[in-house]
Amino acid sequence: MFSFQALTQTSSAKRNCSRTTEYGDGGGLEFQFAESGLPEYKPQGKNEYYQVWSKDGRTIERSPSLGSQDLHVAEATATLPEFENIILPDGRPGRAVMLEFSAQESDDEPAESGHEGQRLVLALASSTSGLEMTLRRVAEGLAAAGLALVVGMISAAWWAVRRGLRLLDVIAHQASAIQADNLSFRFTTEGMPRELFPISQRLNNLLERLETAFARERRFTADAAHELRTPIAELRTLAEVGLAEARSAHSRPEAASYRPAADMEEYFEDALGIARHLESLVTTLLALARCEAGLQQVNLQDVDVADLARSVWDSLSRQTSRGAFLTNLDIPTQACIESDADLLRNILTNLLSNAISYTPNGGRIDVSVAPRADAWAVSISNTTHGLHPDDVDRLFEPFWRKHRERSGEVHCGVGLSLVAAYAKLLGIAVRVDMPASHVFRIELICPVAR
Amino acid sequence: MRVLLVEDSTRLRTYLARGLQRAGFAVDTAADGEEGLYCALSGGHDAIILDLMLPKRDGLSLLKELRARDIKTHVLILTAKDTVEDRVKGLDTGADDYLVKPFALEELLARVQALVRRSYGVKTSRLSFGELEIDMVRRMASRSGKELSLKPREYSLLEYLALRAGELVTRTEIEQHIYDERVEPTSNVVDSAICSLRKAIDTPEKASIIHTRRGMGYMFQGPGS
Repeated sequence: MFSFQALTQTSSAKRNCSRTTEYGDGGGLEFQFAESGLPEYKPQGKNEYYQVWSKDGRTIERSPSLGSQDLHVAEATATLPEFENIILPDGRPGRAVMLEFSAQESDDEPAESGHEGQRLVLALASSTSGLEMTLRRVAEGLAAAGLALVVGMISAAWWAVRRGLRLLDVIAHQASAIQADNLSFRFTTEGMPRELFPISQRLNNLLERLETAFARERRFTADAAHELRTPIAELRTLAEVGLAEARSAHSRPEAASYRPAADMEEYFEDALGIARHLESLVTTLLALARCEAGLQQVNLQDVDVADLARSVWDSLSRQTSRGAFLTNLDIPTQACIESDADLLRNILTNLLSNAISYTPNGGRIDVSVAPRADAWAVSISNTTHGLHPDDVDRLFEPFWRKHRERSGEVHCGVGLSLVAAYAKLLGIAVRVDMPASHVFRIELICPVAR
Repeated sequence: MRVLLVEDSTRLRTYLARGLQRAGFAVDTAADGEEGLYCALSGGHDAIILDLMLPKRDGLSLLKELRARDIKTHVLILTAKDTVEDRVKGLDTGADDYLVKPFALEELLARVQALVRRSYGVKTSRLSFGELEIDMVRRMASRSGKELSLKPREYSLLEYLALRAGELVTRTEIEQHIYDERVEPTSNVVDSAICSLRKAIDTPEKASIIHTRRGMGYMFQGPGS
């Protein structure tokens, strides 16, 4: 008698139960089963199956769950256990393992001859439908989760972008309040998300700079208008009064005007003075406008700064009626640089005539041209009263005047602005300072090669 | 009539003063805001012509100070600042009129004269006292349609007295409003001016239109009042 102990995967307890099957020629195989009867192999259980064949393919034993059907397994090959996916007799998917083994001699019964070592094939099959359902459920779950995740991510991304853009809406909404005439607007950080602080700060800085620039432009335009209007008004009033006097001198000589005819000369002198002032002002303003529009041409050539300074000084000191100050010229024979002669002459004329006009009686003017590294420094100093070191930077502001007094004659407040504009075009650095309390100095560093 | 001209441009100040004098005004001038304020506070002006861009103290600040001290003299702002904003600001600060440079002298004179008339509560440019008519625009007087020959200063005196018709005008006030230069207290320039004015405008039969209040001053009265 052979005994076969079948052990299920799920049960590790071995109980005794046996079935005997007729097999072979008179002999038999005894199968011993666990006591509980292995319910999964029962027909109602329908989860586990087994079948035993002889080597030649004859079925020896079937599990009750199989009934009369066979397990559809492939041919057993070698001795190793072989796993395969099969279709169970009831159509469900399953997993089967096939083993080859030899029937063992039982300890109880004496051995029957002829049947020891019978090679038998055991197939154990288990329904995988549960597993498959589980797997499918997992797959579905994963798919669902995956889908949910993708949808969630898209939503989250979309929401995050929307939120980000909405932050920009906050800025945009505030920004719509900015007008060209309302540059005092600033972005408030109140009620604004923290992420927008840096950008609103930068925008505020930009607005600050714009406001300053606009204010400067406005001031310039207002000042220019004023500076142009005043001499025109002077001229007009002068002409009207002169005309009235001339007429009344003709028609009613007895009701004589308060001025004799000889004063007519005075009228024309004043008219000329006004015309010259206007000419200077208009010319300078146009030159400044040209520079700012980038239309000023620069013709570079070899220029002897020393010679130029000397010639400008000579012509100016001849013209001026003032002579009550000391002058000291320290100019070498030659100082060649690459520059535009006309613009440079303009600069020097402006600065030197300023010095001549603003130096009080008894003061002094020093003009020097000195060598520097790769440059020549033209320095003009003059005695000055009433100029404060803090004012020095403001001198270049168009139309700025200390005490807002008008000097009237040939100077107008844009001269230095033009000097600065030309110097910039020529690559000349301009430095101003007050080396002593009553001395004003302006220095031009003219590079030898532009 | 006396006006104060506060203007920092020397040329403009000179010529404008001349033009105003030709028009019969007595003119005081100031070249900066401080001087202008000082002059304005000393009073006696029928109108002030005020530039805005002045050294030492700007025009608006001067005006503000005047109004704060309850000085009611009419002020005409004369300036190159021409924006609406500037005009509104000037008028809001207490100016009575605003004229932009450059300007026609004729217009300035007309506006100043209008301000002067307004300060005396007179609306028209013609004053009538019975047969005596005074045309303030053409600066002439006529009696029964016949033009009277008056020297400029005589006319100014007549105009001033006529504008203050019914009021007692002191000698000092006459000095202030008619004469440029400060009149010597001992001189009788006013008396002699009144005398020659009377000669020009009075009819011999009737009483003088100008009454004397001994020790106090003069009063211009229309005949019959």
